[in-house]
Amino acid sequence: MIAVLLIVFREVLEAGLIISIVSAACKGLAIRAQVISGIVIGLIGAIMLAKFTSLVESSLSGYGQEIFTAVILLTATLMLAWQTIWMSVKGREMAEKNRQHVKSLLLDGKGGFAITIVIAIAVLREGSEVVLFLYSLFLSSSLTENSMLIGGLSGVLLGILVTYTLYRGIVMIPLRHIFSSSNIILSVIAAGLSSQAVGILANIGFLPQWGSQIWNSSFLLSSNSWAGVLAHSVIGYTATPMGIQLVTWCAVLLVISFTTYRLKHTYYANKEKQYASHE
Amino acid sequence: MPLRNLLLAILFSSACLPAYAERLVLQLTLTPTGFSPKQLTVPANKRIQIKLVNKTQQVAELESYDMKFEKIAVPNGDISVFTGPLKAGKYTFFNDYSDHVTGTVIVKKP
Repeated sequence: MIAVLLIVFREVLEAGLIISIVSAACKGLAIRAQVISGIVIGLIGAIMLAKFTSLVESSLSGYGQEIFTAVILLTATLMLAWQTIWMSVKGREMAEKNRQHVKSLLLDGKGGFAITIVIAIAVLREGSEVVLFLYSLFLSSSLTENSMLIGGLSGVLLGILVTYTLYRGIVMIPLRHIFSSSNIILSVIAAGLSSQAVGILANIGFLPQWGSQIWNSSFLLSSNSWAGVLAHSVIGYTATPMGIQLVTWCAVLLVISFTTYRLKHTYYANKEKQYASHE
Repeated sequence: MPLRNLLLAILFSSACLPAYAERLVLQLTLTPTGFSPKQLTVPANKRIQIKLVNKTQQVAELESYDMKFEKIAVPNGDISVFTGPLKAGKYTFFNDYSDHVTGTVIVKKP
């Protein structure tokens, strides 16, 4: 029972980490509805996906799971990039409007759909594993092994509890600091997800590797350790990165920061023009 | 956006190159008592394919952090995971849905 609890707890925590960091980074935006709908959509998707796993696998000549995972990771990357860029422009607008305007801006919620998708994907990914795992236990266990199901369910609850505590912990940091660093946090998560995706595609031979192991930092942080696994799910850490993973990681980070910078620049340029025409 | 265009061009042109190098195929079975064989030995710098047959009555997930694969195998189903080329050393894989069901890959210099 304890083993089941631990396995389920770990899956829930991995999804929970992404959810709490993304939510904390978007603190100040009214995204509760998006977060909740993301979780619900993810759960429904997870249950459906668990039913069709063998189907996904047999299609696409045995590469089904890899391609599917890579596609959802890349989608999450795009959504996070969009959210980061949107926030950097919108956040500035908010800072310049009065309180009433800010409220209506927050309520209109445009752009927030990206958050829903990112969270749905995080839940979908880990959730389908939990659903499959519990489902197969349920099928194969006799009544005496009902303790396994109890273990699984308490794993889910414990995972949610720890995630929530973590979220409260992150939000304790004052809003000002979060806002200034949230772009960086979200961009790094996006970079991590994209490098995982290209890693998967390079392993099955759909992309070149550009060097299978550029370095080995196992002595600093092993991919097999608890901290290594956490770093993997948040920033895409791997002790032995492929060349293409490093390039993608940096490229995504660069593209997001560059676009954000350009947009801010244009925004201020327009603003100056407006002032000039008023005079 | 010259930088972005350049990066995209590099990415897509190299994606079109045939990357299907010959792979070394290894057989692996998951039984109720664990992996069989528990240890696989492969030469260094070779692309590898591990074929797993799940002979248990439960869903399993063949996963490895250091070899970077993660794949679900339904009961009595078979899957293939892909990795490599690997440098000499010891790598581990495990069934993510079960506690303490692990195996190792020993990579030796040819």
